[in-house]
Amino acid sequence: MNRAVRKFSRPVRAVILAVLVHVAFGLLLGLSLSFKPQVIKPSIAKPVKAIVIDRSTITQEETNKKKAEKKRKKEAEKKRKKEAAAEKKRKKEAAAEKKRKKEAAAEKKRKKEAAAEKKRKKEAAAEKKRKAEVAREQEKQDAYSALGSLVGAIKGKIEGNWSNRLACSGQEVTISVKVNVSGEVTAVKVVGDSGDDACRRSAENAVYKASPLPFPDNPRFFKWLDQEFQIIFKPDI
Amino acid sequence: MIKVFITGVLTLLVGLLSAPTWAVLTIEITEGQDTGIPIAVVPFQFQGQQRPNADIRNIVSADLYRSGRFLSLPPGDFLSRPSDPDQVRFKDWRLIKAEALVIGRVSELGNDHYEVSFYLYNVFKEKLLAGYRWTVGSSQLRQVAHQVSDYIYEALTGIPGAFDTRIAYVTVEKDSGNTRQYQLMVADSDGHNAQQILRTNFPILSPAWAPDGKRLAYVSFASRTSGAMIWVQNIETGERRKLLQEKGTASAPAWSADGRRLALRLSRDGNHDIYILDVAASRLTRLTKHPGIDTEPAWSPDGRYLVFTSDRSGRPHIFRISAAGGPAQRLTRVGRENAGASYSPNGKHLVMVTNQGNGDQIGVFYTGNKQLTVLTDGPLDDSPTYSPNGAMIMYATQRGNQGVLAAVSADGRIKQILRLHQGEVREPAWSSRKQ
Amino acid sequence: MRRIFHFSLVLLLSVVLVGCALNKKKGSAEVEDSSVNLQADATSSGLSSDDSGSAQVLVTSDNTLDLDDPLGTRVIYFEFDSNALTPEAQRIVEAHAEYLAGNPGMAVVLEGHADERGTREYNLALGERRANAVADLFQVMGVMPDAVRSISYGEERPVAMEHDESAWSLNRRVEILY
Repeated sequence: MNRAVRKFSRPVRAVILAVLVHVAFGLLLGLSLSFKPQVIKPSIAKPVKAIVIDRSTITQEETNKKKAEKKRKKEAEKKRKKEAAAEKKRKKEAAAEKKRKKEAAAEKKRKKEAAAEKKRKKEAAAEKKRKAEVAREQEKQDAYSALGSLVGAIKGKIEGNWSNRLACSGQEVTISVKVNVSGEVTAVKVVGDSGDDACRRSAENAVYKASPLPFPDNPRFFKWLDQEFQIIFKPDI
Repeated sequence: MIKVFITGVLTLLVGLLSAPTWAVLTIEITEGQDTGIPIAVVPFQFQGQQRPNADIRNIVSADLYRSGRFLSLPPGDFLSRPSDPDQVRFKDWRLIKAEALVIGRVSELGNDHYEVSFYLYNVFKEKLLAGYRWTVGSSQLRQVAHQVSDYIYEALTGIPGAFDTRIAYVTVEKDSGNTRQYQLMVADSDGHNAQQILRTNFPILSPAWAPDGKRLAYVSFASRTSGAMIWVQNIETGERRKLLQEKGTASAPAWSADGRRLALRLSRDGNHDIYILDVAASRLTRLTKHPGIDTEPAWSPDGRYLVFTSDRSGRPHIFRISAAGGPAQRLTRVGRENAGASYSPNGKHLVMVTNQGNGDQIGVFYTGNKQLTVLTDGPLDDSPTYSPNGAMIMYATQRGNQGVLAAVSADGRIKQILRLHQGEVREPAWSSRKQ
Repeated sequence: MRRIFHFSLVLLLSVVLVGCALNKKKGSAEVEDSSVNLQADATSSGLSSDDSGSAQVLVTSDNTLDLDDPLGTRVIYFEFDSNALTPEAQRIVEAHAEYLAGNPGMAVVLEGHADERGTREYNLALGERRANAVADLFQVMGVMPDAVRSISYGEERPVAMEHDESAWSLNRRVEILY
């Protein structure tokens, strides 16, 4: 059994073990099948011709051997060194490469992230702008809606103060009105030249007496509404 | 419907305003209070010892109220009582929502003479509209007050006032012997200063003012055996004369605008027809010739036409004929009967007595579209007469089983009973002439 | 009509009772008119030719009356807005016409009236129409025109003051006044 257990993940280990076990069993099986006691036949020794070796040759050979060995070792060493160096270099390069790659990857990532960030920021900004736009629009709508819900009250207050409707019988007069944020009438002007003096006066007075007009009192709304608006006096008599 | 219109306008405008174009929010006003112009008439300040009987402020306030065009604010609400221009603080009057302000002063000059002055202001514009001064005897103070009313009325409505005018009317009382006594009276248009012009046991009808305001034509009876006749009397001198020496009865006198002719009803040949008398020449011209009853002629203000009552088509209705003669055209087609018509001063309307199934009511007929509008309730209303400015109609009516005079604004909105006399009052005639 | 007739009865009866105090005449079946001259001394004249012959119009003051005689009725009545004589009215008018035709010296005033509805001037004319209707019938029956005066007071002299049909029907009348 293979006792050298490597650090593998469990399933891999399991597989390996399984394979090993199967191989082992296979071998065993094979071995059992092919196991024959091996007779070791002593081989007949062939006569070995002895060569006479003289010591110097032997020592020379040994020296040469040693030299060669040394050389070989040296070369091996050299080679090893070279290889080691190359290996080192290679490793270094590999490391450098790795580093570079890592950095490149990091750079790329950073760039990507930066770009994404930029894009996100841009989008966030656009979103903010859009939201602001929507909010403004909504504010405008709210302003108009607030005014719209007050139009009835404005109308009612002016009607309640139009004391001399008869003066405009059969006529029509338009008054332009400016109000401040509290609804107080700041300017009253007859628009056009329809209606006789008594009618125009009755319309102007109706607006004056109705001041302050019901008006949205939210300052945010006021900027949408501070322009003048018009009131048409047209009695149904 | 208006709410729908408003929301529609608003929606449209909101839509428009979303685009970068300019559109103006517009609100349409059709209803109002119709209370009349709120006016503050400050009690006139008196300087002197002997306060006169006539209270100018009260006379003016009553005039303006009676016209139906004003709401005279109660002095109890006034925050200040200026009598002079430099005493006026417009804020005081804005606060009580007065659209106009009248201030004035009466100063005793001695010898029963007074100086009267007044100023009229537009409160919200802080503008002086009129200012006048008089020096008069105490007996003329009421007339001055009516003239103040006329100035105010004209400045604020654009129409001349008719307060400084006179009316004639007939009263009936039973004397101690239970005989009916008739009186022809002349008074200020508010019923004050009444004077007796004629007193008789016989009925008096149809007083008619000459345009010069000095003479009255009227119908009465000379004796128990004589029928109706027309007299013309000078109010100042009391001198009177019978208009015609005709056989047959005459009534319904109507002066032309130039005072030179009198239209009247005459029954010479037993037939009731309209004639025109040239006063100076004493020449009679026959205008209608029809077996039916033709009576109650009235001149158009331009003198070109006369309207009259005729029953030639069955029941009495109003017809019109050229003053030069010719065929008569029927004007009124609605109602059971229409009679006693007279023109408004601008010639566009006819006031008349109309019966639409509710008895006798006063109605106004618009010559433009031939529409007849009923102004009063009846059921025994009679003798309508326009004020000289066409803004009011005086007429005879019944209150508590007694005949009284009433005034209604020409649009029918304000009605007032005139408390003039103890007995029966009837037959009002409004002089077209200012004094 | 019966009702109106009876009302007139009551009216005339009261006048009779007043007259009785003034003038005594032995009762006769005939209706005797005694007339009082406004201007001069009281003279009573009967139905004969004793009268002055002038066509002076005189105010009557009756003493004795036979109430079944149409001559005793001095008022006739009319329908609304009409000057047509009803059969009852005609009967009465004819009786008076006969009397007048037979007494050329007598003169009469016909006073026409109307109820208060409508304008005064129109009613003045309507009352005159009614009086003229009676006068026309008189003339047809031979009464001299000079003996008859037709006048009208329109709605100015009502006998009944209420504002309803019962009053109005009493006011729509012609009075025959001697």
